[in-house]
Parts: sequence; C-alpha cells; structure tokens
Amino acid sequence: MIYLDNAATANPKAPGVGEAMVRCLQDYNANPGHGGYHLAVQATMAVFGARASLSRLLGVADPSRLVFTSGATAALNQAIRGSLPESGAHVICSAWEHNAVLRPLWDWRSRTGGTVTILPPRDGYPFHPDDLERAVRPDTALIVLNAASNVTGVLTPVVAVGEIARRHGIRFLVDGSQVAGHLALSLQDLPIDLWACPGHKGLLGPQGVGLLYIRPGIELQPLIVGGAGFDSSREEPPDEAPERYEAGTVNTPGILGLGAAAEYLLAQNPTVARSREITVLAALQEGLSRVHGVALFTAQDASRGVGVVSCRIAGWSSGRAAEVLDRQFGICVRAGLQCAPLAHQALGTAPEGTVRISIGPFTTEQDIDAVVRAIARLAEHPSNTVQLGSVPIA
Amino acid sequence: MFTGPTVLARAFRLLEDGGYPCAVVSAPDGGSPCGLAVAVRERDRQSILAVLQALGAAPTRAVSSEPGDPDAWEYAPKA
Repeated sequence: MIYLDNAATANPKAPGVGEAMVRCLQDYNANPGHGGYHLAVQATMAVFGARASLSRLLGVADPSRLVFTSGATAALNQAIRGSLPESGAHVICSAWEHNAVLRPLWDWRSRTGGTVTILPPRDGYPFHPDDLERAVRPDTALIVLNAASNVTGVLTPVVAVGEIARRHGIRFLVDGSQVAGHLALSLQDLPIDLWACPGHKGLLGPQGVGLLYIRPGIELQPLIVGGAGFDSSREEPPDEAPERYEAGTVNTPGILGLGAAAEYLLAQNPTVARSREITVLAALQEGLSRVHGVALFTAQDASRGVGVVSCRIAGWSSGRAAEVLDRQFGICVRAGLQCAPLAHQALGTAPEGTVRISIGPFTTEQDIDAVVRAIARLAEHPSNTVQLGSVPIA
Repeated sequence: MFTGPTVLARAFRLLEDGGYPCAVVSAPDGGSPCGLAVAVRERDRQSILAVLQALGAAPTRAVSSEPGDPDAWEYAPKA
C-alpha cells in the first residue's frame, strides 16, 4: 500500500506517538487539572509537558497561549465565532478556504446579517494583495486565510497579509492546517493574531487533537463553557488561557501522543526536512507534468508550496481514477472537492474536483515513481474503455 | 481566586528545574491543585518572585517555618 493522502491525515505517525498514548492510558490515567492527588498531578504535568514541547516547536514563548482543541475545525470555530460580533461586521477570506472556515462564516452571516468578501484569484496569484487592501472596510472585523491551500499546496503570503491587517487594526486568523509541521515556524514573530491547526497532519500526531494559538492580548468569547477543575464557585468561565478555552476534560492520550510527535519533530533538522519535502514534491510535479493528458494544479515552484498536488486525468473522473488507483495499484489518494468548493470553482474543476496527491515526510522516491507510473497507465486507458481491475499495470 | 493548572504546571517545572522541590496545594473546594508550597532561599526570593509573577503566580502567605527551612511559601496566584 502506498499512502499519499497526508493532507487529510499523516500516515504513518511520528515514531513514539502510539507508545505515548498507551503509556498515558496506563500511567497517567487521571483527569489533568481536575484533582489534587498524585496521579492527577502527574497527568497535569504530562499535559503541560506536551504543551511546552509544542510551544517550542511552533515558536510560542508562553505555552498558555496554545490551546488544545479537538482539531483544526474546532480551533477555527473557536477563533471565528469567538471573534465576531452578533451583528453588523465584515470578514475577508479567500476562495481557497476550507469548509472549516467557510461554513462557520456562512453560519455567522446567516445569523447576523454580516458580510463576507471572498478574494478571487488574479494574475496567477491565489489572490492579489491589492484586492485585499481594497476589500478592507471600516467594519472589517476579521481576515481569515489559510497558510497554504489544501487543494494546490500553494503558500499564502502570510507576512504581507499580516502587515496589511496590522496597518488597518484588523484581527488576522490563519488556518495553518497544511503548514504546521512542514515549515519552521515562530508564530509569535508572525504578524498574526490567531493560528489554528490540527495535530494529525504535518505535526504527525493522532486525530482528535488540534491547536489554537492566541496572541497575548487577544481575547475570545469561549465557544464551550463548563468545568475547568478550579475556581468552581464562579459563574463565569476562567479568565486565563488556556483553561478559558478548554472547558471539560481534555483529550489526554491525544495530547500526549501529539507531544511525542512534537518531540520527534524537534529532533529533526527543519531545514533538511523542508529541503527533502521540496525535492520529493518537485519530483512528483515533474513526473506528472510529463504524462500526456494530465493537468496539474499545484505550486509552480515546489519551494512555494507544501506537499500537495492536484490533477485531472483526461478521460477519467477524479472519483473513478482514485478508485482504480486504490483497488488496482494500492495507492491511496483523495478525490473530489477536498472540502474546498470555492477553490475548485476558481480552478475550473468544480463540481467534480481533482485527484489530490499529498506527500509526507516518510514518502519515498519509489512511492512517487509508482504513482506517476500508475497515473500514466490511467491516462493511456480512458475510463470508459476499461473495467475495474483491467488497467494494465506494467 | 486560584490559578489554572497550566500556570501552576509551568511554575512547578521552573521551580523544580531550578532545584526547588515543590508540593502541590489543593483548592479549598477539594478540586484541582491551585498552588505550590516551596522552600525558597532568602537570597533567591526576589528573583523567583519576579519569575512567578511574570507567569501570573504570586505568593500569598508563608505556610511553614522550620529549622533550616525558614522561607516556605505557598503560591496561590491572583489571590
């Protein structure tokens, strides 16, 4: 089996993740922050250790500004809903956003009558900074952009956008789902206010845990309130982060698994890891570009993208192509709209979408050769001429 | 008002890494740990105070005074 859907979730996970989760269930099986006996304190310290490791990895000096969530979607919902007023405001995003951003915005818009400006692609850019500047209004409360598209992998100029946001005094939220773990980051040095990401993609942790970085001085309305384990007589949730945003029992096994992944990534040389990703991505792009009948949607220069390539294969629907790649070639890729419908409208690939191939740190050159060869076979045999299982492999 | 577990854990780790073993103090409501008891050498008191206050923690009262251990404080922040 060749797994090339790392933009959906990393496979395999970092070494040590599974062991850390099992150790948690066996050794720290108490509720962190919700008890003063020794086992609960051990669990509390273990969760803090994971938070501290992730803070080092992501460049956050104060670990309390890194909130654990159930995933990027929960983090984005907290950031968006916790930032926007219940009436009369304006938000700017791009056509490249995931539904984890778009659907909270559509929901907010329908409930409050707020407005959303979607920046279109222009002049070969995912969006043009001039369009962003022009879209700013006096009531603009939030700019939300991903750090890289989950359809094409193209990186967003986060620093340039952040400087525009700062100049206008607008809160800036970054969906870092496709970038965390891929690029060396120092979140506190970026001109951003909020950063959301999952733990199970580039960070190589388990599913069910994500992160929201909240810059010091930024306060959000908590999305979920409940027990914090302390200050129980108050009617209001705690004032302090991260507990203000972590009501209830946190996902301790998931957090400790993610902490182990962070320790693994901290032990790697980020420059070497990124260089390797660029090399493997460039090989994939180059290999597919040589296949007649394949249209690519990806960063023109691999150094300006993360490990994602979308493609269309002449004569094949994306779904059918992915099905044959799986069943006949043992290659796992993602077909369809990848939860980013506006991106596919912008690319002209809606409603069917694309075949998305996404690499990870453990993807080999042999994996790339195999998927390029398989797609070349498909391109030679349009789907309406074959039955499942009958595409010649060699 | 008591501190959350993250500030407490951070203070705990800083103190222990600095050679000051801590004991965790539970909240009066029987809930989570809310403070730390730690013996601090007089000459280090001000620098440790500064670090803890930067974390949002601050000492509230001395909890013990034993021979050779004259400066044990309980840290229950934001009192």
